[in-house]
Amino acid sequence: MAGRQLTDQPGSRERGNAGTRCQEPLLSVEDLVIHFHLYEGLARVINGVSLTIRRGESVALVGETGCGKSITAKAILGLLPPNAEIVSGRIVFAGRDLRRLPEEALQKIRGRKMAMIFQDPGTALNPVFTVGDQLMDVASWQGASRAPLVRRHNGELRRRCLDMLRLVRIPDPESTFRRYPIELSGGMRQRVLIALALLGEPDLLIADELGTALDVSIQDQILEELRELVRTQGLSVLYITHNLGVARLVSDRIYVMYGGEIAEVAPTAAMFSRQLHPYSQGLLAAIPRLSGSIGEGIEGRIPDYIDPPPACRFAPRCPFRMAICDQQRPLLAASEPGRLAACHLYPASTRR
Amino acid sequence: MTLLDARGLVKYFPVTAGLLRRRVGDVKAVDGVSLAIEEGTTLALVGETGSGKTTLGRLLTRLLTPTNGQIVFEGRDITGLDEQALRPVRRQMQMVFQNPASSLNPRRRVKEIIEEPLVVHGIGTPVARLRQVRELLERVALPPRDFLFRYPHALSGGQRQRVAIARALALHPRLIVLDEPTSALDVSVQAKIIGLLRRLQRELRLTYLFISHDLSLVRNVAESIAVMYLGKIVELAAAERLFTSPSHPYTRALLSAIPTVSDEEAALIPEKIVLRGEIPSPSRVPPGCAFHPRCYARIDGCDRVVPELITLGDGHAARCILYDPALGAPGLPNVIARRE
Repeated sequence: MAGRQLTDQPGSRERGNAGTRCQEPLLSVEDLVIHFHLYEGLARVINGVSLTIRRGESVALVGETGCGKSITAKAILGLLPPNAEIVSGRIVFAGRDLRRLPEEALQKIRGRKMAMIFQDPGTALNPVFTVGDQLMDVASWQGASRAPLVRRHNGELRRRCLDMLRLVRIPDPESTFRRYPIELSGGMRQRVLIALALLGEPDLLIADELGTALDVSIQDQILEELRELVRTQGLSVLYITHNLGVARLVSDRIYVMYGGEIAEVAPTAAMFSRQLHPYSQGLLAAIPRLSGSIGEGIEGRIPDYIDPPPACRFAPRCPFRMAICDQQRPLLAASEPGRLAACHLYPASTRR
Repeated sequence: MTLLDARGLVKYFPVTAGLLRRRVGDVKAVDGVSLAIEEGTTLALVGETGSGKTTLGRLLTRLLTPTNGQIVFEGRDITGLDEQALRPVRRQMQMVFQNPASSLNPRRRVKEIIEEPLVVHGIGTPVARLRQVRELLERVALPPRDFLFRYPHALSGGQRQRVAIARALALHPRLIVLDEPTSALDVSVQAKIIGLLRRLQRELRLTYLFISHDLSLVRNVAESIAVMYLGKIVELAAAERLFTSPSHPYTRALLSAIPTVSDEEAALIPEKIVLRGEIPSPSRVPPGCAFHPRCYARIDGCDRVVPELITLGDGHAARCILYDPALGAPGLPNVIARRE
């Protein structure tokens, strides 16, 4: 059983232990600053992002188009495009600073210790190889050089791949194994992508807009199934999504991102009952409700990263804008126990 | 007054195979749809991928010719009209598409884009048209001075959709088909566009056909909602009623799957129903009730009998054998056994 195989791995997956090791975060991003070198100039996109994920925790990073959430994820995985530059900050995964590791060592972590579930099930799979080929390729890859061709016909590997397809509830794994991605529905492709990510037996899964390309009934199935898997396997997950309803369903804690900065951090339930940052408030209010209400939306547009607002990046769109908002950058600070917000409405953010 | 009335609309797309392109089957995109839209109101078409909602929108505006059925617009049968005869009708019905990045010509300026329908229909002098374009831009809250001579790429997603809406308004239509008008936009922008659409509807007494996959959104824009599944309307009801008493098993499952953002909403949705399997291809519609392979309330006969749309009162109708009076109309069981 693939399930057993996963839990048999050394390296503590036990969840909820009060031991000190569980207190130490699995991933911590500290004050990350990323610039992009563009034709138009230097874009200061990620401006001091910090985030932590504890073992067994599901964290959602939410925000709208262009807020920098996908770039943050790519930075964690070391997959930034060539024109991006990490100016400062640390990315510490399982006690190791990823930025100091040579590429070779990074490759052993990426795809194995941390894996990404890609967003678009239509394009993330290679159309000219069967599902089985692609799974075997990943399964046989040991993080260094290509495994010899014989491994491809290795019965043991094949069994592992089929187990993985079973784990993500693909009906009839044997026949799916032989199929090409085009023969599968969107939901099935998404499941294959999850299986691919799980093959390396990762500690951390990064799910980029999981299921948002799918219909609501399929999205719901897949999210529920992944949540169950995460619970039983004790995985940590970083969900990147623009859909707050999805974030509410899957996460323990939420980071709200705006303009390349973290605007607010709170436990999921607390975030949805009351938002501290004006951006989170506006965002929540803009969501159409089943109970029959829809807010006003937020005036203006996301900041220009080449010439961003001088202090608070949300200030030009903020209904509570004050003089200080254009002079001093608000700190992400504990405005209430267990919650962080970066807004001058809360004295903790103004203190120097 | 009923502005648009469709009866028994059918659209099959042939599936061909072999050297001679022989017809081997049909994609039953729309399969017997009847609906009516009252003037000044919004009817929402909701459904998942492949349910035929976009095809239906295009049939109703005669961008596609139906295989069968009848479309009556402003009391006049427009089903068999040729392109020439359709021209004046087309002025009365306009469309706004999902992705404003691709529905606006990237080589034209905003002024030319909005002016285009006026030019096509030979309306006004250039000076009069420019005045009209300015008025239209003001209507959609884009200051003409800043926007007239911009290209689409220099606009944000929300601004582009405002331009697309202004273009749709240029000919003073009575009906606008909005095909997923906000699904490419962020929620904070979506709320703005919805606010604009509602204001325009009030000011200009517009009638909307709102095509969407988002039930929470249509709850807030439509007077009535038609839920589609594999080319058929499976449930039709006033917006509020659909949410308080969803009657078709599919509607109920769909509602239960919506990710909510408040406890207040979560209390409104039915107990979670996880559907088995996925939507079949419209080229291989299951026999009997098309939903039966995924249905959790299936009874004997669902795989053989094609259910009729059965009226439940107050304009509420569901296409489900469970409401058949001949069977004693047992209805949908309240507590549904979870899937085995």
